[in-house]
Amino acid sequence: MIAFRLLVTLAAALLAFGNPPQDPAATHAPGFQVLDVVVDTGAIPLAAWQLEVTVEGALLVGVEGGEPAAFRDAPRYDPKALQGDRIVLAALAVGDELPRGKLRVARLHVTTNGSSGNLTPVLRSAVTADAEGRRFEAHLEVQASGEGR
Amino acid sequence: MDDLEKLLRARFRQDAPEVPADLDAAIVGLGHEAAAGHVRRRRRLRLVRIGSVAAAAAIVALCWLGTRALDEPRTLDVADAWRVARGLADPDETARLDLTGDGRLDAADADRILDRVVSLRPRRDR
Repeated sequence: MIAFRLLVTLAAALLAFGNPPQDPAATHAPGFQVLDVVVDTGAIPLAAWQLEVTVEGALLVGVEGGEPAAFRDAPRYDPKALQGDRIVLAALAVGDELPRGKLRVARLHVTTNGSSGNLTPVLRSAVTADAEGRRFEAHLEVQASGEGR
Repeated sequence: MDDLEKLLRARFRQDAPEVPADLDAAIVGLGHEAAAGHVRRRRRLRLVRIGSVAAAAAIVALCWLGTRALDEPRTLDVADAWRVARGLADPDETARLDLTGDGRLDAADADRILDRVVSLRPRRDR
């Protein structure tokens, strides 16, 4: 019993004094961020899209599908992209119901080292195709969704 | 000792029993033959040399073409994959889009195109 009390006291002392308070500014705890891939097609139905994204200062850890039923499955990507900061995403809708307007077509999960601040994804090689398979200009962006922090 | 040498020795000794009647003509004939053989050998050597250079150039060209094929710019995109998946691709594009090489465009080709589109391997257009 005495040994048990001694052990509990020792544990309490370690908890109380073992971890001195740290400066929060100096802490770089890893954090998670969720980035939304958003396409604005205007009035044109979206049949397929592709995009290359580089997120400097972060590591990609997951890819999720989008909101419209046609793009609910996760887009195609090279598995080697995970644990890196660059990824090429591509998805096509094979059904007849094609969405249009401002659409969240995918979601990226990234980890940061806590010191990155706001991530600024760089986009390249964006392609969007309409219901005839023709390429058309659409506005694509990758923005923080505010989830998962 | 070859025939030409024998005749030349006889020409200067004039006493060899095997000396033909027209010694000088024989010497000239054999000389021509030797010269012709020398020319043939040189020509053969030149052909071998040209052939070696051509073969080396062909190997270098093949390597270069292979590198280009492996490192080609991104000419395929998701719009191509979609048209192939929906059967809307132009038959004129078969050579470019038939990645399975079976002579027809189908879902397997669309799948391969998508794989190529998202591949992270280095490309020359980067």
